[in-house]
Amino acid sequence: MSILPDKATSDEELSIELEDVVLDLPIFGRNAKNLRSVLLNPFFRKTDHAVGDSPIVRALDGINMSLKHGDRVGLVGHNGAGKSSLLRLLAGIYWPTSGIYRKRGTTRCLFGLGRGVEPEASGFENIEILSQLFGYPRSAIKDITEDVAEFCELGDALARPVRTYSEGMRLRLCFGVVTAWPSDILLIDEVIGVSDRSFKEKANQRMKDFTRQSGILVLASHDEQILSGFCHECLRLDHGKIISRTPIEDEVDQEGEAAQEGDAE
Amino acid sequence: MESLIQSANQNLAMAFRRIPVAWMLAKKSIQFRYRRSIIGPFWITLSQAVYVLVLGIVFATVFKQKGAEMIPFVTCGALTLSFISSVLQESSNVLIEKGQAIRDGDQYFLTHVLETVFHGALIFAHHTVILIVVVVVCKVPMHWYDVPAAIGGLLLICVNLIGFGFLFSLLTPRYRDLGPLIASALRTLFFLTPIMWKPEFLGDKEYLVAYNPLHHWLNLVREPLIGGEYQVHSLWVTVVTCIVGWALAYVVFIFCHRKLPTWI
Repeated sequence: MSILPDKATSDEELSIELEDVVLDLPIFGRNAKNLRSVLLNPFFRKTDHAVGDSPIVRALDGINMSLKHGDRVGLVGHNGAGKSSLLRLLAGIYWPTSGIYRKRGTTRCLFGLGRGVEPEASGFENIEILSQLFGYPRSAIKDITEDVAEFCELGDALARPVRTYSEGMRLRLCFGVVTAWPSDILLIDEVIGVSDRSFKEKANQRMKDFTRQSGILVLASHDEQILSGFCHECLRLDHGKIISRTPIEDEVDQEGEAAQEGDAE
Repeated sequence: MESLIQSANQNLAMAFRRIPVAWMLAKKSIQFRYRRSIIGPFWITLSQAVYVLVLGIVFATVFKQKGAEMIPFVTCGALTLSFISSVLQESSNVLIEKGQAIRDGDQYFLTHVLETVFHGALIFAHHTVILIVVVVVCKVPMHWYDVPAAIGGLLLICVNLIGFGFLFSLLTPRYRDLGPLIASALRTLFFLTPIMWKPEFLGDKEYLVAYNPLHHWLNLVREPLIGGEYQVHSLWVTVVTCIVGWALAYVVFIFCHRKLPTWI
């Protein structure tokens, strides 16, 4: 039994389309609607008009893009430019405030290392727990465990509780499980940065194999090496808007030039 | 509106398909409790045992009742109610606590509530030791069908808890005052519900307990285990609260499931 939704039947069908997508995130706290203001609202409706209008931040502003089978896109931009918000929207966690978002294909995401990892359980047990969380078929879990154990090179440490692991070790484990079973769409946010060089190379190879099987990759990172290793295209975000979509070499050159100019000044 | 209902149903369908996952997670978290402690969750059972025994003895004395009658009554009532209130409290905060996991991709909200209810039920399963001891020691007259009836009642309570727990869990991320409000309401209900006293002690005000749904929930578990009479109307009240709870949760879910991840 598979619990993965809306599997695309063929590679051609696999797609992500965004039309004029706007995402507003509410900020609660000041002026926010709480139980008191809801209860008092009928009495003070005339005087206190602002009650209930909580401030918002526009995380994504008029995003248009379409991705198809074979696209491997790197998201770049400053902190707070909207990279994570866009990834969460693509994953179906956030819904657009306005605009249209269409997706065909199964999605897997690696946004943080905390999800589902049980610190008291051993590495082996966590591979099993995570595999079930991601909805991998039960019959395949034994093979997956062997595969992940071989990939992450943690050896004896896999028998230890995960609370004794370093960040990098956790990443190896999580990354191994996320990429253990094919998915049409893979979304990754900024986590590969904590790994060492040898793992990056290994991850790179695995990701290449994985993306060969899966159709679309969207990855957010500040690391040029990661971006050029994993992606063909670079999508630059600023203040929730897409400001450029370029092949990856150009992007690296641009940044190089920009850095040189900066040095010259 | 149509697409809202559609996406709500999809989200729920995914959550239902993940019931085995929720069960697995609940089971694991119990297992991990044993890992660094010899008796694990039985510590809670132990403290509950002392608590219900003291309650039973004190109130049997205060109300001048026979201990052998009062202790099973108090034990069944107090254990079941503490199960109910702890599950409701935990599930009302579960989505806030799992905020990070939800934003990292676990956006099938009902799964988290199911995990909480399963976890509470497994802890309660440890407490059945107390029930067995009390029933045997106090020589409660039992029929063969009493135990299945109590288990059935417990399952019905669980279905209720999933409904109401889900409802509360959806509202608390938005209205943070609800969490403490629910907690204090449950504490008050502990005194308003016949646990330490019997409904007939109210005299001519006995009819008041009929308006307390918790009393009817408890009846389903308690009456079979204390050799009491089965209350058929309690069964109907429980079925009705079940439908009401699930219906409310479903309607609230339709309207808030898309916005919920932005609230946590």
